Amino acid sequence: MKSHLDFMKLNEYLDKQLNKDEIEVVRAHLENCERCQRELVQITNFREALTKHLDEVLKEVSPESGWPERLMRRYARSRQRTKQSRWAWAANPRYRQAIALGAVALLLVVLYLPLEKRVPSQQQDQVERFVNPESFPSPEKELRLFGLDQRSEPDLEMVQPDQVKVFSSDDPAEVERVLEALQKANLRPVRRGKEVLVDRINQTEAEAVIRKITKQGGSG
Amino acid sequence: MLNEPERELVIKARKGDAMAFGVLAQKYGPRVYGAVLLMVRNPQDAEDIVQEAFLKALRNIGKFRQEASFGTWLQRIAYNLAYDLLRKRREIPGSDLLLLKTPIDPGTPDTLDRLELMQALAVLSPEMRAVVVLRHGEDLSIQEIADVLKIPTGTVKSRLYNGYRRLRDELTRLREEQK
Repeated sequence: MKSHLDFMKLNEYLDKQLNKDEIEVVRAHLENCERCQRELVQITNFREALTKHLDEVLKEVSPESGWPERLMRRYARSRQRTKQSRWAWAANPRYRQAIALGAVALLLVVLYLPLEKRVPSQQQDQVERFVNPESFPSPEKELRLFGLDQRSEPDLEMVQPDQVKVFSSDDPAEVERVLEALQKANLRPVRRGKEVLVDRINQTEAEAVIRKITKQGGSG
Repeated sequence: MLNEPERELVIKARKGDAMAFGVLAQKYGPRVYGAVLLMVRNPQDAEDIVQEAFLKALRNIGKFRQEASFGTWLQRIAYNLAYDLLRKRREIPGSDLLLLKTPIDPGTPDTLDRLELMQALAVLSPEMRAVVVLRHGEDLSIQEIADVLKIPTGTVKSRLYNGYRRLRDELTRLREEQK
């Protein structure tokens, strides 16, 4: 007779933790060993009694009264904390900086978008200008259209609606002198016949210049 | 499998429905509480663990694979929390069966006396006791215990069988004392 089956092996046998070969060995031994049979019966009884008693204990044991209410209160508190903590990160200075940077980035994107749209149309214009130059005004005329051509003479035809008359004279030399003085003062005068016009915004300043030169002219 | 009425209860409880929460708590709480109490041996700790397990179970219900009931999901979380506590807290073994509020009949005509069993259980190490309680109180298989406690099956077996041995030795000692 080989040595007896140990306690672990018998428990593993009961728990079906052995492989096929091991089970065969255990069964063969048990058939011929009364001592191991007794041990197996004792272990089985002990385990069954343990299950029965623990099961009864667990059925009888319960938390002190009112515990579902306590649990509910705790759950309600935890939900409240979760809701509060959902935005708590926003109070952190690091996150605040990130939020500010994000806002600036968003603003830049919004501002940049129209530019983006404009660039392709400019490129398209350049192509069109190359293919069909007649359909586009000359660059010089374009500048004058927008009043950006400082080098050009004031265009008699180009009178903008927000311009006001600041001087008028039958003497062309006088008109020329006023025109020159206003140009020197960078007030962008425009001549229309015997009249001199400036942007409404420059009216006061232009009138002061004109008063000055006409007084000088009068005294001289 | 999480059946439809139970799923509804869980959804309502998550939204803060006290009634639904109460139903789940009454249905699953006591049993889980009992097993946790046997493991940690302190009513306050046991209640805290069960509460925490409920909160976790409801909060993380999305991760639940729905292969079992809400009760099983809750048990897994509760036992894991209890086991974590046992590992953190090295306790002094001793008899604390007075934790059990219900009187234990010392005259149970059985080969294993309940009073003696509770005394013997208190002698086991927390890790051994946890495994014994889950195997015999909650009827979990060795593989299920390994999954719940996140330990190898070999460790479960050695703790369980060594636990049996220690329980038997302790019960023998107690009976000899009585004689």
